[in-house]
Amino acid sequence: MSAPEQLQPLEPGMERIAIVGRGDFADEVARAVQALAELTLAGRVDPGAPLPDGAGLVLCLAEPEERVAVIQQATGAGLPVATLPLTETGDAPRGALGAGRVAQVSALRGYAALETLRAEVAGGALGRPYGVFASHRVRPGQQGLFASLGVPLLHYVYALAGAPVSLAQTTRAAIHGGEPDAWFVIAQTSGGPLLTVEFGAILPAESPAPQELLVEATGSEGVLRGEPLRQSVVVSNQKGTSARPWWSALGPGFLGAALGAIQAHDPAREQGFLDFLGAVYRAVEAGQPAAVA
Amino acid sequence: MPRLRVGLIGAGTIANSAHLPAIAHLHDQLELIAVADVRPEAAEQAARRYGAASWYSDYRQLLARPDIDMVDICTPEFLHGEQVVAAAEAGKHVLCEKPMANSLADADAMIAAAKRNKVKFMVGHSRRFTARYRAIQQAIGEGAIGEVRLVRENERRAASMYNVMRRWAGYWRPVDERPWILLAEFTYGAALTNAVHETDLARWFVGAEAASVYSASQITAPEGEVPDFISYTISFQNGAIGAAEVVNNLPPRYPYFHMMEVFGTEGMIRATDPPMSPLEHWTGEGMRFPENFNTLLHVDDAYVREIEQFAQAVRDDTPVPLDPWNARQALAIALAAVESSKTGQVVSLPREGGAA
Repeated sequence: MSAPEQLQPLEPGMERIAIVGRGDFADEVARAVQALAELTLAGRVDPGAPLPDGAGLVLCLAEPEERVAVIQQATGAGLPVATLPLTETGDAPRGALGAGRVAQVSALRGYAALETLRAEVAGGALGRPYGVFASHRVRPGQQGLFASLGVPLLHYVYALAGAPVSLAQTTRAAIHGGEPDAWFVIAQTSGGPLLTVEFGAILPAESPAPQELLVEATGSEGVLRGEPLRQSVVVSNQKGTSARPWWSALGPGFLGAALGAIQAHDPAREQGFLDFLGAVYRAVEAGQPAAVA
Repeated sequence: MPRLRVGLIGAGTIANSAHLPAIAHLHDQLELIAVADVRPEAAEQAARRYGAASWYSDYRQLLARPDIDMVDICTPEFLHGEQVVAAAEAGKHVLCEKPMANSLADADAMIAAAKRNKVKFMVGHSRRFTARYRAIQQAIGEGAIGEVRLVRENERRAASMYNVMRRWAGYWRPVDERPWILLAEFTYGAALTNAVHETDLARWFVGAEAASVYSASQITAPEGEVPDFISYTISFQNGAIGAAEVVNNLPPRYPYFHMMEVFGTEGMIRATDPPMSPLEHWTGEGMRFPENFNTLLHVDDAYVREIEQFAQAVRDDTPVPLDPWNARQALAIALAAVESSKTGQVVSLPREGGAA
């Protein structure tokens, strides 16, 4: 969702939004809140700081390792939380998700193309779903690939599938060095599409575009393809070819997705994502596919 | 130069869409003598259309003719073992359509029969002869991207493409008017019928043997008994990865689409159908794509090149351009994918006892 007029009616109190997090993305979301007349930015704080007075909803945009604590703080205060997806699957994150009204939202839903694709799929555009292929690639050197690329993409695909994941296999490879920099996840769902997810720092250092993002959903009645990062200006000169992205800020789209997710809160689906994530981790350790608990 | 005399076995879809036109194109080098198919009308139709004087419903009658030098086998894979061995025993040089067979035992028997009878034998992995993939291999060989670490492929076909081909050439329909390609009695499905292209290309580009395969699959065609949708990951012995998603039953008007990407330590190669198809129609009703296999850029003259180079090897008594061991190893990976999707487990290669 990118246009303010598409905002769904909010429950009373939720229009007073507190943002917890640092960095550019938190800045974008804060500006998006301030741009909408029906919303109020109750405050923006760093993780660990007291929540702003009067907040009715917390948007957790903290770093992965800080998110559980932010959720615990907000639910402890009786506030609903829309958060970037959790990256750990132990008792603490599960307890945090179960302690109140908490919805995970992938930042990728800020891309209008992917949010439109998601809405089309939810509306039945695929007919009988066959599969989802998703790929997110960056240039070499990015650290924390699983948390920064993998989890957002896995959550987007999980939400798109709309069906319980039953089995997941993970294969890793080292493209540019000794450490794994490419991940491949194949996941089966119960009655839903077959999921194929790839992410990694596998683009050449000199690749024209700094990153590539692709989601394709296939089904009996349709095929939907979203490539939001193809919005770029391609410059070719004596030095070669480069792609200069001009895509717009993710904040407005993400804000709309987060508000929609918290209102459609489904506790079982929230825990189900951690189950999926846990299976992905176990498959890496075992070298065999892991059943989703 | 005397023409090689050719007998073709199996006058179905791939024969009519690729092999017979290629043989006709090579008329100055090849003479089509006879066509065999269990469906007499299909054999006769193909023979008449492509200028063969004889047709048979039993391939053994074709093999019994002393005036045939080479046979081109275009039957379903479950027949390849029996027919290739019989052709070799009859002293014919044999070109066989992929996939090589439906078991490694058959594949090994085919190779052994060709050696024993001192005939040329090649499996027609057409993409080894396709300009696009040959250009990729050439770039890899020149060191353009360093060491290959990942081969990523997605192949998508609309069901309507098969429908067009069925109307045009006709599948063998042994049970309840259903084509063999949908039936578990005759095929394992997409892992062999088309994903064996992907396993072969990945192995070719990586330049190593597979160590393990994981695969998941689905049956999407309502009348189907075998998977027509497969997603798999191959781990090669040198640590490289092959990954592919193959889908065969997409909605009508979806364009045939093949995405091929090769990532190396020093760069990447991308060869895809830009943007989705080599031919698009724009009308007041929107964009559509032709349902015609022959418009595909990457098919081009691959079958002509494949058959011509095989015939050249026969004529000059030189090694065939693609050693059948390569087809055997691509089959081993594809069969491991079949097993993996059935068991839900990673399958290691080679199998115990050296079967793969």
